[in-house]
Amino acid sequence: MGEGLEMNKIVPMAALLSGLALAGCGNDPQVQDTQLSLAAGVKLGSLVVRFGHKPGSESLDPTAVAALRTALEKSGQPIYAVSVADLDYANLMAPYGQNGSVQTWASTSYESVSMRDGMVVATRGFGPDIMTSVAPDIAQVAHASGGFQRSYYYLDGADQKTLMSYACSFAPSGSETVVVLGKAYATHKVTESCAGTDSPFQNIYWFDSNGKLRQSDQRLAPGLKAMRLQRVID
Amino acid sequence: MPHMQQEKKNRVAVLLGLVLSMVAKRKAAPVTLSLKSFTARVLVGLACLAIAAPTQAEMQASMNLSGQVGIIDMPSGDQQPDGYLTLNHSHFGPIVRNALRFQITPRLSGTFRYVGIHNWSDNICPPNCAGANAFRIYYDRNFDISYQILTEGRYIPAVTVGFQDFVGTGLSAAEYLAATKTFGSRLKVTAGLGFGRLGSYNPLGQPFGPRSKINIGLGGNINYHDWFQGNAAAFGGLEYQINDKWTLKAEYSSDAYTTEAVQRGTFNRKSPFNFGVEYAPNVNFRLGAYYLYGSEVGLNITININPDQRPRGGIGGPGPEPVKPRPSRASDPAAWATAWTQQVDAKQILIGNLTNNLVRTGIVVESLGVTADTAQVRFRNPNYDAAAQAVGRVARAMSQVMPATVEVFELVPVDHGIPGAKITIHRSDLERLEFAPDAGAALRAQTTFAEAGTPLPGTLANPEAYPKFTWSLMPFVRTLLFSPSNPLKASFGLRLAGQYQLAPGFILSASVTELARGNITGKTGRGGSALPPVRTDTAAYITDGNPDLETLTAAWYTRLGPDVYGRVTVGYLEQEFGGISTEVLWRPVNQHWALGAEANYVAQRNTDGGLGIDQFKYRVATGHVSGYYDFQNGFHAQVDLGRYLAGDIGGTLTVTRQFENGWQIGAFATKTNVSAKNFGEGSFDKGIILQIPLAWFSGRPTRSVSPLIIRPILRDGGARLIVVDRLYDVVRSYDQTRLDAQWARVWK
Repeated sequence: MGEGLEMNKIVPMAALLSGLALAGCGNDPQVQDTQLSLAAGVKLGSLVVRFGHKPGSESLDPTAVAALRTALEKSGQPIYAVSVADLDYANLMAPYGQNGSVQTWASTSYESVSMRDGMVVATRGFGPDIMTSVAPDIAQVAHASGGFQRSYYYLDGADQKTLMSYACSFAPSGSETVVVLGKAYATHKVTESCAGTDSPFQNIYWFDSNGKLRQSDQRLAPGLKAMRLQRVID
Repeated sequence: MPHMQQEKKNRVAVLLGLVLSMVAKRKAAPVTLSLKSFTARVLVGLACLAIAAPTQAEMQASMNLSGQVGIIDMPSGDQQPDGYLTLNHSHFGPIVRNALRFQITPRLSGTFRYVGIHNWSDNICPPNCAGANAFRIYYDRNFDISYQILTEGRYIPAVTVGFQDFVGTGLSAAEYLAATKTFGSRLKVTAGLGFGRLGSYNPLGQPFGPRSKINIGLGGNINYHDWFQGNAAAFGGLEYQINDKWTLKAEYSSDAYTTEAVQRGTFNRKSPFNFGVEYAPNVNFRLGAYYLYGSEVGLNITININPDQRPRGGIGGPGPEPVKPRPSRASDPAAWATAWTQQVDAKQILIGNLTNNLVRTGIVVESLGVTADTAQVRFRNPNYDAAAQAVGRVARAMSQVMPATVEVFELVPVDHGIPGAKITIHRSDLERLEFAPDAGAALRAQTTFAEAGTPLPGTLANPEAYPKFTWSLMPFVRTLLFSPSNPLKASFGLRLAGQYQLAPGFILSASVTELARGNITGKTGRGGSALPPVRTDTAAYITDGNPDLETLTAAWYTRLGPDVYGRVTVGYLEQEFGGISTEVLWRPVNQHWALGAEANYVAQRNTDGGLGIDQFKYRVATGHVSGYYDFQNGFHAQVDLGRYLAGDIGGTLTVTRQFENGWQIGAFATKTNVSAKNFGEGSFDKGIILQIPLAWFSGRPTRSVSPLIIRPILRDGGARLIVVDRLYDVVRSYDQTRLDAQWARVWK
C-alpha cells in the first residue's frame, strides 16, 4: 500500500479458477461478474472432486478432467480439492489468507479450511465447523509413531463452545496408489487413531514419494465421515 | 486466441453443462421459507436432531393423552428434559385434545391444552338446548402447571405435584401427586393420588373437605380454593420398554369421566383399566395406540422440540474473510507510515474498501471515523441473528483494509438509527487469536463493551447508506383461535410491505394486505362487550374491505443521550388504530434492567381498512410505564403499568425464557380495573408468547423471527396498542447479555 491508499479488489484468489474454466477470460473486478464466475466455479469444483474421489465411477469423459488439470497446472495456482461426503460437499479451494504458520484455503462459495502444513486446524462455512483445534505437527504424522493429545472446539446448536479431546496415536499402514484429479501417485499411508470425548475416529494421511502430503482424510465434526483433502496443484 | 485454448473452452463448457444439471438436482432450498419448505425443514431438522441426540440409554419420559408427562390417561412423577417444547395431539372416543407443553425449568412445567368433546349434547339437546348444551362439540381451554418436588434417586421415586386446568372452567380441573420409580432400565412404576377429575372414580374419601361444583361460567379464575378438596382417588400404572423403540403401558385410571360418560353419555366407560403400545423411532417423535376404558380406541402423537439446540448444530452460511495480519514494522516500514492521515479522501477510500469487503455479508457501513491509531465503524446488520457474528465480520474486514497503524477497532452496531453499543477490539488480538484454542473466549477477554457514545470527531457518513428502500411481497396468515364455533379460523393473503429509510432513524413504512381466502367471518359488535369494542371486532377488520391498508407510518428513532433513547411513530399504526405513539427508554448499558415510558393518542380506524376514523368515533389516550429485567439465567421479566385501549387501567406481567439462539417462550397476564363479568369469557387477558428464530430451522444466519401469540380468547379488556419495533426490542439486540450469549459466533 505504501504511502497512499488504493481501492482494494474484492475478487478472491479462488475466482481465478472459474476465470480459467471459462478459458482465460481473466479476473473481472466487477461484483456481478465475480458472482457469476463464483457460481460457475462451485459447480465445476464439485465435478472435479467427484472424479478425484471415485476414479472411473462416473461416466464422464476423462479427457475433460485431463483438460481441467492442464488448465489448473498452467495457472500455477495452488489448489486443494476438498470433499465432505456426508454433507454432499465437494469443491476446489485456493489460498485465501495466511496468519503466521496457518494458511486458509477457500472455495468460491466461501467454505474454507485453515491448515498448518496440511494439518487442519479450523474450518468455516460447513455448519458443523471446527472453530479452532490443537493439531499435531506434520512431522510427527510423517514419522508414523507416538501419540498426540488433540482438542477440538466446536459450537453447538445454542452457539456455545464444546471442547472435545482425544488421545491419538500414529501408525504406518502400507502403500497405496491414489488418484488426484486424473493423476496417480504412489503413496505410503499413515493412520492416526483417536479415542476420547465421543466415538473414536481415524485420520488417514497419504504421503507421496517426495514426502508431500498428497491426500488426507481428516475429522471435521462428530457424526460425520472425515473430510477428504487432496492437493491437486502444489 | 490460440486454437488449443479455444478447444479447451468448449470442452469445459460441455463439462460445465453436465455439472449444471447434476448440481441443479441437489441444490439446497433457498433461504426464504415457503410454508412447504418450512415444514420440510422442520422435519429434516427433527431428523437431524435425532442423530445428534444421545442414545436412549434411559427410559424417556412420555406424554399422556392430556399432554402431560404420564402413562396413558394418568400423569406420572416424571418431567421432560429442561427447555423441551412438546406438542401433543390425542384422540379417544369423543375426546380430542391438543396440548403445548413447556419445560420451564428442570422441575417446573406448564401446559396449554385445547379440548374438544364431541357428541356433547347428542343425548340432551333436544330437548334441553340452553347454555352450553347448544354446542355439539364442547371446546375448553386449560392451563396446567406441574412441579417435581422430588427428583428420582436410587431409592426415592420422582414425585410431581400437578395442577390441571387451574384457571379454566373447572371441567378438567384436577390436582395430583404422582410418584414414579424406574426399575432397571426398562420398567417404570407409577402410583398417584388424584383430586377433582382425577379423584372421581372409586374415591377413597374427602381427606380435606368438599369441593365446589363445576361451574361452566366465564372461566379464567384461579380455582385455588378447590385445590386438593373433595374426593381423592388412587391411580397407577406401568411402563415397560421392550426395546429402544417400543414401549408397553398399562394403567388404572381414577378419572370417572363424570361429565362426559356418566352425565352426557358421550362414551361408555366400562372399566378403569387402559392398555397401550407406543412407538418412538427417536427422541423427537412418539406414537401411541391404546384400548381405553373397556370400550374405546385411542391414539396419541407427540413431537418434542428442544429449542436450546438448533437441529443442525452449528450455524452454516458462507465463511468469513480471514484476518489479514500486518507486516512487521521492521519488514515493511512503509506500511506503517501515517502519511495517509493527511490524504483528503482517506475516509472515502476506506469506506469503499470496507463496503467491498463486507458486500457478501449484507452489512452496511453507516459511517467511519478514523485517526492514526483508532477507527470507529458504525454499521447496520440486516442478516446475522447473532450480533457477535456481525461484529466478527466487520472486525476482520477492518483488518483487511485499515492502514497498519490503526490498532484500535471500535465497532458500533446501529439499528433503526440507534447506536446499540460500542465494542472495542484490538487488532493485534485479532491477529494473535484467530487460530488460538478457544479463540472466542480468548478474544472476549480482551474486548470491551460500552455505551455507544458519540462518533469520533470528523466522522464521515457513508453516502451510499441512505436513503435505503426495501420492499417485500409475502404471503401471510391471520388467525382467530378458539372461537366457540370453530377453534381454528384462518385467512390467507398477500402482504406488500415497503420501508424507506431517509436518514439514520427516519423511517417511512407502509403495508397493504389482500385477503385471498379463508374462513374468518364476522361483523362488528359481535362480542357484546361491556367495554368499548377495541379488539372484539377483529374479525370485521379482517373481512371488511379488501385490500386493506394495514399500516402507514413515519417513525423517528434516536439516542437522546447516554443510555437514553427515544421514538415517535405517527400514522396508521396497526390495522385497528391510528394516531401518535411516543416512547422513551432508559437502558444503562452495563445493567440488567431498563425503564421505559410510552404515551399514545389513537383513534379507532374503520373496519374497511381505508383511511377513515369515523366509524366508531373512538379516541383514547393510552400508555404505560414499563420495567424490564434480565435475570441472567435465561429468564426475563417485563412489567407494564398504565392505561389500556379500552381506557381500563392496570398492569401486565410478562415472563419469558430466552434461549441463547434467540428462541423465546413465555406467558403474560393482564389485570385491569375491569371486573371479570365485564371482561367476559376468560375473566382477564392472558396468553402465551413464542418467538422462533428462523435461523433455528434453516441453520443459516438470518434475523427473521416467527412470532406467535396464543391467547385463549381475545377480549377488549387489557388490550394494548400494537406498535412495530418498540424501543426495547430494537435496542436489546445489541445489549451485552445478547452479545455474550452468542459471542462464540464472533469467529464464524
